Amino acid sequence: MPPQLTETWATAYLQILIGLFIFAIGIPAFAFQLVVQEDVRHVTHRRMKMRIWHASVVLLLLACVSFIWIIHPANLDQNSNVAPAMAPTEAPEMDKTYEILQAYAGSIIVTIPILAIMFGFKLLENLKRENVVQGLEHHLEKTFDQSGFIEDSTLSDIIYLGEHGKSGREKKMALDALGRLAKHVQNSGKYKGCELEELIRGLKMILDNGARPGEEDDFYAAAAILRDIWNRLSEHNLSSNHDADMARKTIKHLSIVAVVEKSEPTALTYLEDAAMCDSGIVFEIGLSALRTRRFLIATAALNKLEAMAERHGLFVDYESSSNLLGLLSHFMATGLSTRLRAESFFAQAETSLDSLKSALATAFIYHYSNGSYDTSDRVAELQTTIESGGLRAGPAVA
Amino acid sequence: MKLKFLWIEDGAIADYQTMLGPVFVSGKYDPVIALNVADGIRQLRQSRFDAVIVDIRLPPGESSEWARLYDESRQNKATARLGLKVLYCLLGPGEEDIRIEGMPDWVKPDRFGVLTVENKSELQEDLDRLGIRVYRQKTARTPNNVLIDMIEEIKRQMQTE
Repeated sequence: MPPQLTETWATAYLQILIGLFIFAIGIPAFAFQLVVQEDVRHVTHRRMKMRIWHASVVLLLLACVSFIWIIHPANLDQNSNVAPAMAPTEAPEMDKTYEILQAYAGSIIVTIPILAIMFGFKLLENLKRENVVQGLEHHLEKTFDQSGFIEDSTLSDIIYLGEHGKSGREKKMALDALGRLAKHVQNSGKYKGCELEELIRGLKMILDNGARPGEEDDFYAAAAILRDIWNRLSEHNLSSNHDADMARKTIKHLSIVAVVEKSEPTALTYLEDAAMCDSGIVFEIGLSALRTRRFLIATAALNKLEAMAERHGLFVDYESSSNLLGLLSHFMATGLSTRLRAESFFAQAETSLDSLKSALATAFIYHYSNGSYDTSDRVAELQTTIESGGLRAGPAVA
Repeated sequence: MKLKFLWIEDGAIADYQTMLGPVFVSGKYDPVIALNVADGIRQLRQSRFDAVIVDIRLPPGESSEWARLYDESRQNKATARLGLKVLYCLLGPGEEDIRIEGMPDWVKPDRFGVLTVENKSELQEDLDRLGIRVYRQKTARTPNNVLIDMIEEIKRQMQTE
């Protein structure tokens, strides 16, 4: 039979329930604000908003119904408007049922807040950054297996956590998750070479975030991820696909950042990655290094370009030759030592003077048409030097 | 044409300035770096090298088989000695822990050298069994041109055979 509510009883129930809910939800919410970092809160709110809202409403309704239905003492004290829990305990007419109901009411009042606090702490545990990232990663792997594409909104959440996480451990969590996800996707039969665009773009966003830029270890971690992605693309013969293009652009961008802002080992790690992709990136790294007077990196880039150009037969491949001659021309113009290093290449080069001149003419057009006037001017200067016999040693094969 | 060599060494990037600096300045060599076992094996399969320099203490990289061997040694590079295990797998007389399929014919002991912190007496027996004669110990006093020395020694060794 439904309980018969009086105005006083309804008010009492409402007060107790509101008190309980403020306590039960307020304590974990306070802890949530206090303990959980802002970016994790942002992601959690975005992902769990509706679920928490629905759960709260259902819980509130259930609590109202059970409290009013079970505890209401209409059967015991129909004429009284005093709540049993508030009734004088010394009342001689209090019967057994009344005692049980009072104990039940007491237990609810004690256990609900305890359960709520326990639930709150469990929730806080789940809201640890590593657990959130791991949960998002597993969700993405699962949805990719089902649908064959990466869910953008969830991926954005991992990237957001990486972007706003502190350098080091927090950024690394997001980077590691992206690395594992890339591996999972690329090893799947559903991978076609265009599913990782946003993930690769995310690496750049995590590291090159103005407010919270990545530190050396983050750059290393991203370089390893990009290298692995590239290697798997090569294994699948997908090096000319969309993801490959995005990987190339990201390596280029991060390489230049690393040359200008990071240590030599970090910059050189990116140089290794760049050498896998194309000579244009190696040229850019070499030029940036030369301009920032980081000569070891510049020399390493020049060495890479020399090897890349030789691989196709010196001055045979248009692009790698033009990039090599472009960097050599900057070396020639920078200082005495860099000029000596450049001249040592010409001294060892197994080519004729004519093919060198022809390659220089091609390199001039290549850099000019790319809008790199600074480089095309340097190439023109090198052409003049060579034609006037200004090199200390000519090509090895005259 | 530059001599192309593979350096399998997890600390190669940190040693870039000291050990690879002279290599770059000379302009005579084309170094390729592998930071772990899996990467090293992949590079050996992909390209032909004039010389291969291997460290003894290596991490496994992306390979479940090598990761298992590493885990068996409690993930300790010094006790796992994966570099030595790789050499046995590539060159060893039937003592391999893992069978590496599809290795090219040029993979022979005379192209290999070992650059490691282990001293020679610890490794001599293994080096003899493997047929590797080019060895250098990596210490604080190791000269910066150690890689060039080793590659030139491997080159001379191959020319005499």
